[in-house]
Amino acid sequence: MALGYLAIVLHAHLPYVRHPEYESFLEETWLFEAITEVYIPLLRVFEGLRDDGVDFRITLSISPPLLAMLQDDFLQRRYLAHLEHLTRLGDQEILRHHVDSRFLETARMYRRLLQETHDIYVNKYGRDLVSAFGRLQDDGCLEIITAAATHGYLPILRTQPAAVKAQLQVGAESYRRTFNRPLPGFWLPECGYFPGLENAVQEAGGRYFFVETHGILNATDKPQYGYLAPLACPNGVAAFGRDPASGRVVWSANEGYPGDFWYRDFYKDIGFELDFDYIKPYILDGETRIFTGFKYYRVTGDTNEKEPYEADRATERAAMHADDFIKRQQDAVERYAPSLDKPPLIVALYDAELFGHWWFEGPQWLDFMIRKLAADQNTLDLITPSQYLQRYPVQQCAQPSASSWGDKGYSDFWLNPGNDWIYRHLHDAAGRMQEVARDNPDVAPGTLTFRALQQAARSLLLAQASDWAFIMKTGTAVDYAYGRTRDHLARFHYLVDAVASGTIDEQRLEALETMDDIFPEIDYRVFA
Amino acid sequence: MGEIHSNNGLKPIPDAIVNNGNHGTDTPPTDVGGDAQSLQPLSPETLRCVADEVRKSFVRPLGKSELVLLEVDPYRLHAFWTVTREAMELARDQLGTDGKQASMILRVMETNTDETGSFGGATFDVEVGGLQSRSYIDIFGDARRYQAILGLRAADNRFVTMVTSNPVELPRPSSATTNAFCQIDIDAAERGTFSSPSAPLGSETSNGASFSWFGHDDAETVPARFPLPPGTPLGRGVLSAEGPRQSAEEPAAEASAAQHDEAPAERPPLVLEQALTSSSYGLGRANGFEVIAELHVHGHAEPERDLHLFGRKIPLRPDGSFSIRHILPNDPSVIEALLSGGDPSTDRGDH
Repeated sequence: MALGYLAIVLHAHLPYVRHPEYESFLEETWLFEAITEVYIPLLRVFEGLRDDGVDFRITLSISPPLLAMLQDDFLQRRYLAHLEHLTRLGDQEILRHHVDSRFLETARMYRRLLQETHDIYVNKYGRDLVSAFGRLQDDGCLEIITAAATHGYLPILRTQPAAVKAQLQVGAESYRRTFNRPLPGFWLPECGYFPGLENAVQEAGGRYFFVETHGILNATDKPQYGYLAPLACPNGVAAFGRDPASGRVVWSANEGYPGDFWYRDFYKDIGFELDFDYIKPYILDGETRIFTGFKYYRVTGDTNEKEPYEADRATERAAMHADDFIKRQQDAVERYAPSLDKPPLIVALYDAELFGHWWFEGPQWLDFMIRKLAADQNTLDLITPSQYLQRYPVQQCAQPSASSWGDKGYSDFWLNPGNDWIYRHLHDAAGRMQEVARDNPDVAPGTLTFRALQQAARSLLLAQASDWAFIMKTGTAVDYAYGRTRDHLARFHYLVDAVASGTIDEQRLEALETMDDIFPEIDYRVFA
Repeated sequence: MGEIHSNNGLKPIPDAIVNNGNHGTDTPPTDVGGDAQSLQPLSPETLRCVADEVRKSFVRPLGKSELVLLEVDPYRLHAFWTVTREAMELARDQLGTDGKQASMILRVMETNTDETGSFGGATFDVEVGGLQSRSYIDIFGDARRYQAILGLRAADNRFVTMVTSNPVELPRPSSATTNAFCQIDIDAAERGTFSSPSAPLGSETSNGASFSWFGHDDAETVPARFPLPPGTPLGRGVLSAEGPRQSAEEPAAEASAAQHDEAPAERPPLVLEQALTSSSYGLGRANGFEVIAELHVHGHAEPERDLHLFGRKIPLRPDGSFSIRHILPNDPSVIEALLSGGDPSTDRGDH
């Protein structure tokens, strides 16, 4: 039996970005990049492991907005068009580099990856990545969980408890409809927890969630196992605490693996480096520079003079870092196990988008790491939270402390002078939604009033996405975040006003349903 | 009442747009009933038109008076409020002649840790302004529970409350100091069934670590590739909790003890490194000395206008609010605010 356990948890999430009202839309490329660079590479890694008979289990959180976008026919078609553009760009890149061997191999690598991606996406998966992940769950390799409906940051939305309840219940329902099984646990958006939230988690069917390290360490009673075992909240829902060391070696810009000098540099992308006339035919609207994924340089060091990328050397580093990671976890487990009366559990939480997008070699690292764990050692076993709770159902009971995994560990990142203006509007709208839901308990399905209430609920949920406050704080696409917040709240109030006055314009309603086409089976009474 | 199909005060979408650019008459659509399939598919232009029209619904009139408190971190609160003009005038009237000069105050109060929620601790005032605004409040005490009231304070310190906030509890900034220990069986909590403990408490393992309640054989089988179905009896001795759906406020230790004839033995703490049981996730308050002084200028205007402060253009948020921080000048200075754009006759400045 292993001395300890390692729970790798990947959280895959993107904000719901879908704009049928435009021929193309820049922010939709976030999804397209992630499909190409993250989700398909991860699927290939997991399927490769499974097909090679490697015994592994990983926990994968897929947020409801991401589930919806991956299954959306409109976005699937746009993605294919994007992929086809990039593949043609790949042909051009090979021509451009045909005399420079330093870059030709890399250009060929990208072209090959794009072709494979297209083939896998269309022919192997039939454009349905969600089912592909589901099959891995059916095979026991993945434990898939989900997050709140639109990734709302619950500690702030709690000013209206109905908002918290709706976020979790709609998220859970989205999961059940997609995977046709009960939800094992929740990824709380941003690991944002407040005491008592476990009751809403339980009501929505979740058996566990994750918190940042200090959420466990500052619990109502001192955790006797530190963060090496979950706490059971008073209602029996388990809270797993993040292991800080395993996070640092992967996340840290200074000391983490992705900053290694041999790994691919993220920022030097031909979409921003080359002459615009060259790039124009292959990008989005022919007007806006975007990341293309064609990057030819490695991190090199703290310098602007970057060296050419060498994929083989990078692969070596990934293997080396996989060894290093395992060694660190083994050391930790060997150090702590003698002090504990059950095997220590290391919970390693990561954003899935780190693997392949921000850290190009991330999927390779995962592949190496999982294979080495399975073949080269027996100190550590991979485990999922559900499996851990099956084995160890008796846990110390204490209530975690309010916390998040955001900068400074609390709510500051989502509640600061750059974004605090939105919360009065969200608070007001949630209160209004509750009122209108209670005032209309028995509206017949299919009527305009019913559809308007359904759409109002969707609009409110979309306004509540934590992504907008996050973007406002980071300052990356602030106008877009402002616009999304404003537009969803405007649509919400427009619809509720229409219901209240009994005057619903069907064409405008249909337009709103077309634009914000998420949660088709939502029940607005979840806000009641 | 039947559903009335109308444009809800908005102009009808021109047929030219609905018909994907085919130019027709400007007759508003007359058949807007029926199911969705009978309507023409909507072009991107139509969708944009609707989005633009509906956007006007964002700006809302002042609602009811309300004060909301939120915790930002263990030492900071955030408050946002709305006070109606009527509530403000009523409060001023109650202060009589002093009402006009009364300051708007956010009074923050420590509340007791018991369930009465009564105000048992320190109180401090923060001067604020605006019928609809927000503020941050730094907390320097050790108390965790707070509530606030927004009111007017006269020069003689008479205070009239306009609105009361929700109670909040700040996050704990450090580890609990007690070593109280109780456990629950998650599976039993889920099944709603309980069994009495079959494993002795306080038994020692061979390595000397305390070992309390595991009654199963440590030589377990390798975890099955397929998770066991819920409720599968696992043959272990378990410690049961009082009830599966405890209130978050109920001390878990009491519930655990209630299940048994005797109080559970106090479990000595496991020997773990300090770093693994206590959080140093601090906010730097214990270290160093720092003084920061800045001017926070905030307010609101019509969203479509241009605002200039300190000689530079200040972005307005979609709801017209703005917020900037400005380093305090060394010398006395005048802050000039200029609002322009839109109808020139409504341009105005302020100092």
